[in-house]
Amino acid sequence: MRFSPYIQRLCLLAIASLHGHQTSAEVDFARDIQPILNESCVECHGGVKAAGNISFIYEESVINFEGKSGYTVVTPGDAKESEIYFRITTDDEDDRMPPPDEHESLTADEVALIKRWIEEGAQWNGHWAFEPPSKPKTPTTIYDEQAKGAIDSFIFDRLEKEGLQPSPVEAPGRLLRRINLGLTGLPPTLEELDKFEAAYAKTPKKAIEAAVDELLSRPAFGERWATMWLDLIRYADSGGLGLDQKRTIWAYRDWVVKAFNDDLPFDQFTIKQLAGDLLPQPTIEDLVATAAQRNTQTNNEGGTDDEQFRMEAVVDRVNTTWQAWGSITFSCAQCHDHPYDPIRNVEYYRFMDFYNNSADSDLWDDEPLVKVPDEQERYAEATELRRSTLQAKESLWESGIHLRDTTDWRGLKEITVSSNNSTQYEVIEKPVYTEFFTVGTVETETHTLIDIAGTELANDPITALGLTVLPHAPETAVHSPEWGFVIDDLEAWVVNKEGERIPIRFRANVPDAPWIPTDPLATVEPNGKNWGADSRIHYARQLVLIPNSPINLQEGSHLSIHIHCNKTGHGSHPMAIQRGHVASSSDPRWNQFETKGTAEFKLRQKLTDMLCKLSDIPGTTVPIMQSRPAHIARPTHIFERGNPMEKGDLVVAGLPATLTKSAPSTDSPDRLEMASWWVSKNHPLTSRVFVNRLWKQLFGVGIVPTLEDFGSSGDKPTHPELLDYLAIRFQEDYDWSMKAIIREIVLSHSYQQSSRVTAELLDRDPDNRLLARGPRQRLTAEMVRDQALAVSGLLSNKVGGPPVHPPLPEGVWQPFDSRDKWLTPPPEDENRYRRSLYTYMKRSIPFPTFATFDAPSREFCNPRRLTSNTPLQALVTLNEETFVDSAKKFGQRFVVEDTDTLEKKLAQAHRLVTGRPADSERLEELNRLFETIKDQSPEHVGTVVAQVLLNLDETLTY
Amino acid sequence: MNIETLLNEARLRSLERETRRQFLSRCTTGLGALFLANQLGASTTHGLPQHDASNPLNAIQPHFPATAKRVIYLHMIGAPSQLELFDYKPDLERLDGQPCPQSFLEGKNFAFIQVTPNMLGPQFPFQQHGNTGAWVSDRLPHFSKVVDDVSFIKTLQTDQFNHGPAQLMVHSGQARIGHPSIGSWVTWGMGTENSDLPGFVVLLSGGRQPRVGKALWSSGFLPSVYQGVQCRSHGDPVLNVANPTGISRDLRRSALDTLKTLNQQTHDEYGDPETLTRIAQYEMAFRMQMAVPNAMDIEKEPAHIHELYGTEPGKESFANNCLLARRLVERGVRFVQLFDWGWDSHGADKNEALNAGFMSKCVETDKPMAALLLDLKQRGLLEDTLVVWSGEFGRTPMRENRGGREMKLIGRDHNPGAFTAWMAGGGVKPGISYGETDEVGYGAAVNPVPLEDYHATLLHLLGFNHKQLNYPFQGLDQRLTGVKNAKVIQELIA
Repeated sequence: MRFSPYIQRLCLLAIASLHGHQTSAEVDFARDIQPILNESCVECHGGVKAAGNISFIYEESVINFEGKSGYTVVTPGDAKESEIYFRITTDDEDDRMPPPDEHESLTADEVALIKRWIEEGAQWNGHWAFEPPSKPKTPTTIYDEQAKGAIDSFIFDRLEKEGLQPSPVEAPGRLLRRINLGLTGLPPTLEELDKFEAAYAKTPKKAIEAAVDELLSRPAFGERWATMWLDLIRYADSGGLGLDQKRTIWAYRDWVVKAFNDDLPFDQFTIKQLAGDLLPQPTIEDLVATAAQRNTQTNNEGGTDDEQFRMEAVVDRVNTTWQAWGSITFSCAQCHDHPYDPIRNVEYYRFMDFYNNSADSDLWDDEPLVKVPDEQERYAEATELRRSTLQAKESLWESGIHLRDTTDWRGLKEITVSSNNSTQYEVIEKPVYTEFFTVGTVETETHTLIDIAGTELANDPITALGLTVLPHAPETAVHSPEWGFVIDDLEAWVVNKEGERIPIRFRANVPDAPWIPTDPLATVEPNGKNWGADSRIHYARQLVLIPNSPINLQEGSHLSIHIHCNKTGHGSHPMAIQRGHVASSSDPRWNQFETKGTAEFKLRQKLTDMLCKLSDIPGTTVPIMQSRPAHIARPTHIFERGNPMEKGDLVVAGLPATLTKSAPSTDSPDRLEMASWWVSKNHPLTSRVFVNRLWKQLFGVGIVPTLEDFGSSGDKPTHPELLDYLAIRFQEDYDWSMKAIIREIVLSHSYQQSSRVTAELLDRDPDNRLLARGPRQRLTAEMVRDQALAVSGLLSNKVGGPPVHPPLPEGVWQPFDSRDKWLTPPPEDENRYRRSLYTYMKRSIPFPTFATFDAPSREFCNPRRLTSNTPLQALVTLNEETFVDSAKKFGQRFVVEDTDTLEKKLAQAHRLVTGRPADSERLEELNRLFETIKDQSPEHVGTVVAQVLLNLDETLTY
Repeated sequence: MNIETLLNEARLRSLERETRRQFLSRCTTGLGALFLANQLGASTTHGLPQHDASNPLNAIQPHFPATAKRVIYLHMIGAPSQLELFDYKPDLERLDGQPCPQSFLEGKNFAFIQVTPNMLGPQFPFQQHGNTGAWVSDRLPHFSKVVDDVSFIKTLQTDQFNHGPAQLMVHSGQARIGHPSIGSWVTWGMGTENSDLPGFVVLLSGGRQPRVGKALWSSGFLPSVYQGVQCRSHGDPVLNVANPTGISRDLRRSALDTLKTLNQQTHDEYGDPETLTRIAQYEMAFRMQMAVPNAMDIEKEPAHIHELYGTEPGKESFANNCLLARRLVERGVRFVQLFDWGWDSHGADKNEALNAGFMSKCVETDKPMAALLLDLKQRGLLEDTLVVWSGEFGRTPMRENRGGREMKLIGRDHNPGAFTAWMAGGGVKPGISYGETDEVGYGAAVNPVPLEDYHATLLHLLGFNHKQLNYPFQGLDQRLTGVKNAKVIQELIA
């Protein structure tokens, strides 16, 4: 294995960029000064540490800014009045910067540059990636005749300046193979090669265009490109950590495939994933798209702290958003201001607030979920049912809340509270009610037993009871939520003078939130569903209970309520009521609440019907994003030094100032506005970042090679004008059409030229960043397997559906969760040979073939795969079951069954795997192999020859 | 010197700065750093390993001369009780059966203990052993004889009290999956001595995989070539190492000869150096097909060695894995990681109780781990082979009372506050016991050792400055020791 020789290439490019340097009259801050500051100054005067209050990351703490010393750091136009200039030139070791004992001094050139920059007015233009792209002029070059469009002009312009020239076009068969694999991840068939080569012989341009258009319309297109996106969005079929239990979320994977196949414009693709749930009248697809941010890890091991892992998921959503859409290392700002880029620590948490209020909370069942019908035809029906059920629930809940809020409540004072176990309760009288609370250790399965004396309520019929539950320590819980409580049963009795217990039934209830934690409008009744704060509580929670008929307490009788809280917070933390109070109401309106004949009663019945209908639609589910209602929104605090356990100031949602200069932002944007911001007109990052990803997929190296960092510490673009051209073309001319921009790229000569390289050119540009030759890449993990299946005729072309379990070496599958079975379908079942994309993706047991070929196991956003070349890869393609199956089938097809002459069939087989027939030299070599092994059975001979062909360097690259 | 030369000089200097800045700056996520390290002939100030362009696993020098050249890490999955093995607490014996003082319970998280549990004294007698007088319980009679070669850390601390995250903390320094394991860091940093074998090998025993599976030997964000390779006693010793049925080694050789010639032709025609690398990798794979089964075949070991370890060829056992570990390091494998399942002694069932399963686990592991130390020593390998033994956290001095009731069997709950690890060989000062726990072994009283210090010390023995062994990812220079200030425990170093 080896890695690409970057440094030589870099030297080359840096020398090239110096050409520009010389001719430019003005010093450019971003190009000339910022690198010096980053190298020599920001370690002490930067985002992490701002000694003397000076930070060279922010204009306002440099230009006309007085540091602690009282001197102005930079006075534009006057180097002598600029402290920086004094500090970098003085001979006094105490004053000199950077400190001579810790750091090398600036060179004379650097000092001269800084001086010139100040004298020229100290213009502070930002880092290139934070300025919106500007439409470049297409250059003319001496290679214009070969140029097929603007892309080539930009590439050739650079080649001309470098004294290089483009290569001739690739041979048609190999060209078609490159385009096929590039667009669909699959090689062309022999028939397709024939057809293309015939058409190419007549009119090359038309033949290529026709092939490209046809390939763009294949379902395989979406399957190939989905992998790129699923790496970023860290899609997997399991939850990660503790149990790494199965997670049903494949409908999202299919949504991505379909979005690419339908050429869903990238702005919509973005908005739906980040905030589809907040769109007006969201469709099922809009909700499925939000599963993008539900691919975070959850931890379901016994005894884990759900709140900790919920916070980790929220942090991961922030980092992934910035990485996937912005290629910015936003996570740097989690503990302090970003050390290089102008992003403040507080801005990290303001952004986190967009995600902090989602309803999910690291729970076992991945709630909230949405039902996704199997048949697309029923999407509309399911959407409508979901919408109307939510509406009905909301409307029922609102009428209850309205009644609750207009009711005259009487706080109950004469109460005693005990428990069913060793948990101790005490009470304290407050002005309006008596509060009860636990003292000492709380046991699991604690039932709270409340006894209300009749004296207080005698002769006043109780039409409703109100229960309020508080955190044990309400003040600290605001910052550090406590373990919550879950009521799973509630019983009540009137106990009369004689001690007789007369049960009370409740016919309705009004919870304080319509859809927390699990079912919207959870009901509390014996054996019913539960209600509570699962898993955390940090504010008061309220529940109103309405008895079947008003409760009449007599003098001497009392009311007994048993609240059962049996749930434990994963493992052993008691989810018990630790503090609370009760109230009663005699408002007669509760008597009518949801009784037969009322509008609410009818709506309730309708709701039940609709829920039945929805659950009857066959389908799968997917976890989605859903915001908690405003009145129980979670507050967002800064984490001190990035530590979630140490909460600092309260913050509200907001976008980073540096990047919103050109984009309007309201004072308190919501997640939907945040999503729209990413695809707003002047956003400097999104379009550039995405076209750069596409470029990297097609050429093997991005225009900005550091796909993961567009910030000032990442690489600069090799072709900045081309990057801007593509970004504007994608966003404006093509209106975010991914297919259109890909089409333009693959129709360029730059993409279609031969990948043949001379030793001289290799020396000049080992990684082909200048593109004087065509791309030559190793197939991705998925392509390696899919190609073997495709050329042997085994590949199923079925699109979408639940993950599949292709053959796996014995002993690999030992999941911790033993219910998670790996059942490999028999050879006649097409699910054995589906495209790699559909393989069950378990984070703790990555599919060995993919892991060996550099596919990530998707714990975090993965912006770039590194390509390795190892002996273990050879063992996979030679010995792994699927590859052996493929070789057998391939050998059978070409060596055993084909009745042509040996030469002809070998030539064809070679052409199928490489795009070109074997020449006489190669045929001779293959013939020699035949001779050597001719004593073997025809099947063996077929397999051995097929293995050679399937393991050719040309087969494994494209 | 004319002006042109001067200008060129200036350009070059500025260019060097530029490239360094781009690749080596503090907050770059540029994976280019790795490539740079591969390509730059000269050393860099940031200590990135520099492998051959054609072999990312070639052996290279760490930051400074190492006393440990290879590692065998024995991890007892489930967290063995330090109070029944190495951390002798006579005071706890006196408190046996008494209710736990409230001060022990306040502000603490337990996985299963509820309300007020009772204290639980050591379940087995302890004695002092060797010249150094190390305390070891009677469960480890063989190990007791080699204690003079061993150093103990009694006060390891973690911040995780669940198995999955805690195991990740021990092996990757982070509680979430996605970070490189120690073995990956080390093979990235030093490569390996024998290119026909994987550089980082994982061996499992005890019948179950660890909870977070391969994440414990993942290369995380490091290139996949540095991930641990599981070697197995059943099936192929390394995945796909055996030829398919009917393909003999000769037949494969013929195929590879043809493949080599055809690929050479491809290289002649297209000129991509990657093609030559591929030819070399196929040849290496062919050699690996011989070398791996050879290394994994313990049958040829002499009878006295089998006797020493208590090995039975063909079985998946801790004893076999200890012997395999020796065979692998002998052949130049850099890092051998053993995981032994079954040490989670809650007392909830027979396999996981101090008075049942725990005793069997001691019997299964005592002899082989003593044998490993003796065998390495007699071969002169212990000098520069670091052997480490640990769990992922400690166990409570309280008896577990799951459900608030006294359980039939005896067990202890998870305790992140203090646990014991031992090390031997590889430049560790022998016969030391570092750190002291409180009177009941619940927390660290003297010299607590957070995991980052433990990691820094391991890396130091291997010749690495833990601050310099870092890799840019997600905007941080990621390290095994994380962002906290870690310190090397000098007292443990010979």
